[in-house]
Amino acid sequence: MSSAYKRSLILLPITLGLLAFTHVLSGKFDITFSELVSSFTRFDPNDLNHVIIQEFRVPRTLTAILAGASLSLAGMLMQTLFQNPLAGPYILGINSGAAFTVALGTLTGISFFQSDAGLLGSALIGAFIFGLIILTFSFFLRNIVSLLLIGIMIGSFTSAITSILLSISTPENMKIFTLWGLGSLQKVESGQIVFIFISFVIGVLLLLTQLKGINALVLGENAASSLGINLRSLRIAMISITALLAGMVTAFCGPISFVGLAIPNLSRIIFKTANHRKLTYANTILGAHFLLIADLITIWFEPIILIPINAITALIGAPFIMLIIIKKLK
Amino acid sequence: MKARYSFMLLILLLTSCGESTKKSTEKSEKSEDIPVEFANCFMITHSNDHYILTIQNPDKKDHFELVIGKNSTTKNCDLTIPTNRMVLLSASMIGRAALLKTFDKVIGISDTAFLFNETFRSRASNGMITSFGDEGNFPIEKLIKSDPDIVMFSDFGNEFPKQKELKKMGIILIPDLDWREEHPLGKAEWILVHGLLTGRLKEAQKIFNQIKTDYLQLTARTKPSETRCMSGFLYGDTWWSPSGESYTARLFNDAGIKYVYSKTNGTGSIPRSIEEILYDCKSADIWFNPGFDSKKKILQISSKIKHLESFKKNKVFCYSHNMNYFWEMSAVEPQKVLSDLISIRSGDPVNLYFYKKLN
Repeated sequence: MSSAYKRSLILLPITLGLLAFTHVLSGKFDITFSELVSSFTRFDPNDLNHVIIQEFRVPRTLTAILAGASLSLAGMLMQTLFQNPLAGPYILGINSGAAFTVALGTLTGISFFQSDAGLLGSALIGAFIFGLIILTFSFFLRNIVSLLLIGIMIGSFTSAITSILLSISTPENMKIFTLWGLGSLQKVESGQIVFIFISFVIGVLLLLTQLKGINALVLGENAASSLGINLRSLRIAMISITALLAGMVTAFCGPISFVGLAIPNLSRIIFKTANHRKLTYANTILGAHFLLIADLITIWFEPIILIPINAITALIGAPFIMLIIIKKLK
Repeated sequence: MKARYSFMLLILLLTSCGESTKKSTEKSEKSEDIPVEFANCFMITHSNDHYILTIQNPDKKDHFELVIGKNSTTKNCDLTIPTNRMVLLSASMIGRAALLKTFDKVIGISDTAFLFNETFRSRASNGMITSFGDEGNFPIEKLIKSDPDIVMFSDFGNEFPKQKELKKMGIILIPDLDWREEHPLGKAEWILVHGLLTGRLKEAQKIFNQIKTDYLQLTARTKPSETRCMSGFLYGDTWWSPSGESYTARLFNDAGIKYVYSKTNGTGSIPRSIEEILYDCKSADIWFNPGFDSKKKILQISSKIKHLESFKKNKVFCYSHNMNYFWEMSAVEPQKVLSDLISIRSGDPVNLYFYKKLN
C-alpha cells in the first residue's frame, strides 16, 4: 500500500467532514454550531433554523456527497469498460438516456411517472438501455474517438426526440420536465435521500463483487478471459452498476455534467494506480469533495449571483478534460 | 407627461436616420400628438393625411417609425390603413384585437392551440388563422405565402428572422414593446396601436378611456393595507420574483398590498435562492403567481415550499382560472387584474376574473 494512499485514508475523510460541516453552515440564514447540534438532538419544527438545517442544508450536503461519489464511480466504470479515459456516463449518452425516459414518463402526464419511484424507475431503465446500446457499439468500434462520437450522437438523438416530445406536451408537463432538466442539488427532499443512499450502497456493494474482473479487464480482454473472467457477464454487470449510480443521480438531481468524466482521471493522476479497490475509494471520496466544493462556490456567490451547479462543474471540469486531451495528443 | 414627450422627441432627433426619418421631418410641421398618457414606448402623431407611429425600445438607440396613410391617396407612406392582414405573435396582441373586435383582420398567430377567445378559436378551426410558432423557429416561407400586410412581434432585442428580406417583399414588421411598459395602464394603452393599424383608433381610445377610468377608480377607492405578498416561482435553483419597479409590483401597490420586494430596483425579475425566499417571504400573507394550478404540482417541484406561511394557510393564488384567458386579456384589461388582487386582499375573494385559489 503506497504511503500516499495510506495518508489519503486518514486525510480525505477528515477534509470531507470539514467541507460537509462548512457546507451545512453556509447560506442565507446564520446558523450556529449549537443550533446545528440541537436540530438533531431536540428538533423543533417551529424553529425556522432547525427546519433550514434538517430540510434544506443537510439534504443538500448529503446529495452533493452521494451524487459526486456516484457519478465518479459510474465514470470510473465506463472508463475501464471502454478502456478510454474520456468515457463517462454523460459523454456516452447514459445520462441522456435517463433524461429521455424521464421525459417520456413525465410527458405522458401519468402521475406515477412523476412520483419518486416512477422518476427513479424510468431513469434507471433509460440509463440501462442506453448503456447496453453503447456497449453493443463498442463491440464493433474499437477506436476510442469513434465510440465517444457515437455516445455524443446518441445524446443528440435522444435530445432531439425529447425536444419533439416537449413540443407536443401540455405546457404544465413541459414545465415540470424543463425544471427537472435544469439540474439541481437543492430540490432533493429528505425522503429522497434514502432512495439515493440505498441505490449508492447497492451500487458500491455490486461494484465490490466485480473488482476481480474489473482489475483483470485493465490488463486487456484477452488477459481477462485467460484469467477465467466471463467478459459478457462482467460487461453487463458494469453497465448495470453504472446505470444504477448515474440513473439514480439523474432521476433526483437532473443531469449533472463533468463529474463522471473529470474525477476518475483525477483519481488515477493522484493515486497513480489501476487497482480498482483503491480507485473505488478514491473516486468515492474525491467525487464527494468535488461536488461539495462546486456547490459551496454556488452558495458563496449567492449574494452576488446565482450560479447553476452545472456551470461550476463545467467551469472546473472542462479545462481539466482539455488538458488530458492535449496530453494524450502529445 | 410633457417631459416624457420632450425626452422621446430628443431621442428621435438624436437618433433619427434613413428614409422614414426624412419623411417624418417633412411631415412633422403640421402634426399633432395623439394623447398617450401611460405608455412610454410608443407615440402617435397625426396630420391631415397621415399618422406617424414611433416605437422606441429603451435599450436601443434607433427607433422604429412607420408613416401610415389615412387613405390610398396619401403619398410617401409605408402603409395605408385599415390594414386587413395581420400576423400577431403574442397573446396580449390577440387580446387587443379581441377587445376591438377586429377578428377578420388577424390571419396568423403563434399557436392557435392556446387561443382563448371563442371567435378566434372558431376562425382558427375553420382554417382562417394560421399558426406560425415562435420567433426562434419561424417558418419564413409559410409567412410569405400567407401574404400579410404587417407582422407584430415582441421585441426582446433580437432582430426578427430575415427582417430585411421581408421588408423588401413589402411585409411590415412592427416591434411590440408592451412588455416593457411599467404601468399596467401603459400596457393596456397599446390598444391604441392596434386601433391605429386597423383604422379603429377612435374606438380604441374609447375602450382605453373606460379601462383607465375603471382602473383609476379602483385605485382611488383602495386604501393601503398591512397585507404582505410574495410572487414568482422556482426555476431550477433560482426563484424569480418581479422587481420592485415592475408592472406586477405596481399592480400589488395599486391594490394596497405590500410586496416583499417592493424596494428592489429594476422593471424585470430578481433572482433569489430558495433559502433567501424562505428568509424574506416566510411570513408573507399571500403568494401570487406560482405558475401552477394546484398545490400538489408545486410540491412536486419542491416540497420545501410547504414551509411558507402563505402555503400553509392556503393563501396561494394563480391566474389559473384559465391560463390562456390570462395571457390573452390581462395586459389589455388591467382593471380586472387589479379588481382580482383587491378582492383577494380583502380575504374574501369573490367574482375573480383571472385568479383562482390553489387547492
